[in-house]
Amino acid sequence: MSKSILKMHNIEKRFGPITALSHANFELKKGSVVALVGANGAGKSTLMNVLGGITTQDNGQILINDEKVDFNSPGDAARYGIQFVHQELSIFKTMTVAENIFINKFPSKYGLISKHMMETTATQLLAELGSNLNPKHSVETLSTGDCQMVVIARAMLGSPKILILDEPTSSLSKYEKEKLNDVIRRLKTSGVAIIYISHFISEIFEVCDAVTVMRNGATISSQTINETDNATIIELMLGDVASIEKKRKQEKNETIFLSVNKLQNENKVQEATFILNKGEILGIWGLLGSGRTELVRSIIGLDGRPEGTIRINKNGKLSPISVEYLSQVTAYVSEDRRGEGVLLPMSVQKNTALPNLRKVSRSLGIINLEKVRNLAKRVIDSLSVKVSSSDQAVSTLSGGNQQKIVFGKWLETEPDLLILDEPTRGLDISAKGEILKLATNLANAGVSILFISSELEELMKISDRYLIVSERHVVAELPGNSTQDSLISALSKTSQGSAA
Amino acid sequence: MNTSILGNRILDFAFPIFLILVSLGFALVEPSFLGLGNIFGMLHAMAPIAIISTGMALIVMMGKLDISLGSIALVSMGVSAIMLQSDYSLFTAILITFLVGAMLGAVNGFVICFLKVNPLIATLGTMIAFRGLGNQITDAQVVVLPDSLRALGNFSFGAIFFDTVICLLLLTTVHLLHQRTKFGKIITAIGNDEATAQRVGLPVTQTVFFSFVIAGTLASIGGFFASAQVGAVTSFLGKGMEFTAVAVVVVGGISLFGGKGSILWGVILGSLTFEVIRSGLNYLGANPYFYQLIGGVVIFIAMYAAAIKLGRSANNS
Repeated sequence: MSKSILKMHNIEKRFGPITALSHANFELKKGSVVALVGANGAGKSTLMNVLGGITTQDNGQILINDEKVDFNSPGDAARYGIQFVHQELSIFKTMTVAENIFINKFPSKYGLISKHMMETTATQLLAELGSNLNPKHSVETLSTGDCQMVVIARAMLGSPKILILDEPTSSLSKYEKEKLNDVIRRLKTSGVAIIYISHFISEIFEVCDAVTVMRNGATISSQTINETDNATIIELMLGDVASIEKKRKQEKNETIFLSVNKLQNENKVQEATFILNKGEILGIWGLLGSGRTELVRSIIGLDGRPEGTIRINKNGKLSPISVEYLSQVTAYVSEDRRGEGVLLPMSVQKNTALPNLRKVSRSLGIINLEKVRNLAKRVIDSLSVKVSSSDQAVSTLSGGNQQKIVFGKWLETEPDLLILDEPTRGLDISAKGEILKLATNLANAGVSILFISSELEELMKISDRYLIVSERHVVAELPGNSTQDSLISALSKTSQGSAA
Repeated sequence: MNTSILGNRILDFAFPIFLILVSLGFALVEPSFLGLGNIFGMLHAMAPIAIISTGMALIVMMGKLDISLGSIALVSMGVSAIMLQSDYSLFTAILITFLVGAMLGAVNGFVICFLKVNPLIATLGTMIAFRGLGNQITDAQVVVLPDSLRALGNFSFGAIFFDTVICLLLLTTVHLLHQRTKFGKIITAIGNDEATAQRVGLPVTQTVFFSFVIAGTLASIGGFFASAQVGAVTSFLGKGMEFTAVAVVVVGGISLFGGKGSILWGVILGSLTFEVIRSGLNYLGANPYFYQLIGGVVIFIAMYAAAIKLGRSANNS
């Protein structure tokens, strides 16, 4: 049995009031591939940022070959042979493959870069990774998979002992994934230890030797791959759900509001078929990366032109409509609140007015400031947003109050369809409760809701019915009274199925 | 796919072809236009702007702009003209010219790198301020240069002028700096994506700072030859040169978004295009204002061609 080259012991990290890591432990043996999994916000990224020297832990120790180390910068980590390949690839498009690989350490002679040396070394490095990319070619036309090879080759230049791959497969094709697995196996035989962060549980079984699961900032299990299976990992990731109390009683309204038939959008959504009733909360259940966000975005035309038919109920009749029409009657609370939900530097009243400009304008499109203020006041009062005045910049509000602004501005548009994509992410417990209550009230008032959440507990509290989404497909539909076990097994079954 | 590659090739060669056709056109009307005398004359006349454009090209490679270069030319040349009047040696005066250029470039670099002001806004400010400073120094008067310096401005080895040789030397040096050194590669990387360059750990701040210093120095050298050619420093020195330099760079196929293009060929092609049009119209005895109209049209065509190319590559990916 080879010995551990890395031990992370009781790592703790707080960001202001939020605890990102509490008692995280991680161990890595020479030449092994360990998967690091966990739901969104479980602390994987923070733990790896600590290891990569990007952030410093508040407490806890990192041991490399049993020697205690302190990392204050990525450079410190690199000196101990740690290389981080981020999900977002650092690629310079107009430069060649070789230049991209050597970007940090160009070999030069008398101040001039030695092109020949750079290109031969690049060819060698790439060959070791099993890639025959031409180092003279510009990376502009390369596929994502090839760009990844370039970035991995750049990491190899630092002769790493430990390579961190963050979500390496998230935008790769099936063929490219296999190539990447090949590379991982090659690196492993050459003695490099790899930490493999992934949301795709089935992939782990293809290349990893062990799995470490994180939940709520702690590592809760480390097992070798033979000791575990798909369902166990998913269960560990999601944790046990406390008693579920439905927020409202089962809705009996069976009037169809929206019917989606064989919706196909490139490789983002595959043949999605489902219906949504009036005043119903349809929970969309899937892991991160399963295509749940892509599904709702495609319905309202945010991701190009999907194929398939979308029909909605107009005067009691289902009629086909264009995505443009649907986007006009839809309110979309995006999962990226700070990026897409609000305009942070702008005031509360400007934010709430934006989707309602027609409502607050006089003739000739001149905005009536009185109406803008009144609209903001309505939002603030009805959702009890905590602000000192509607002139306050949204950036100064807490996350919960920001989210209320997002809700409020959309509710003023009187939508028929409300899409909630992780609406409670990053909120504290009371704010979460308020958001869920708000959604229930809206459904009671007849708004149809698509609800996405990574937290099974809140999804179960609120959903009247579930759609199970996995690997870009709508794979099943479950009734509102489904148990936690049946929801979890619905996921693990489907991902197991496609792994085979 | 193939047609679009072919299309891009045609666009790449559009300006060289245009340049050749226009030159032939002028030569048809006036055969001496393509005589050796006029060709070397054009290379002489365009040397100052080509030198300034070389610095501009370096800045544009980073996806930035420096529109204070013309004013830097005035200040640095103004200082040395005054010095020459009070009997400093020619050598000292030249050295001071280039030092002042470097210092003013460093002021730009400081405002951009450390005060984090957008380069266009920062150099718009220094463009106005430096011009004010230059006019203060020369009292906005015409300062006549000594004969030794005038002689240098029109000195030639046979038919080839001294400033043409210096221009080619500088151009080649900066081109090599961009193509073959770490510094140059970092400039290209910044032009690709400054945030990514920062994330990868490249010394972005230092590189941007020194690029502005180099551009400032080159502006003072360009200003030096421009005033040596006419034998005096006037308050108009360098006025509008910064925009001509941007136009030269764009016509030379260097992308304003940064990271793309060849400094050597780009600056030669760009400067030559404008010089051929200017000299040709001059040969035909056209109204000098007509040249501005044509120059504007050429810039527009260059930008349009660049936009088409950008659209193509966006469609391909």
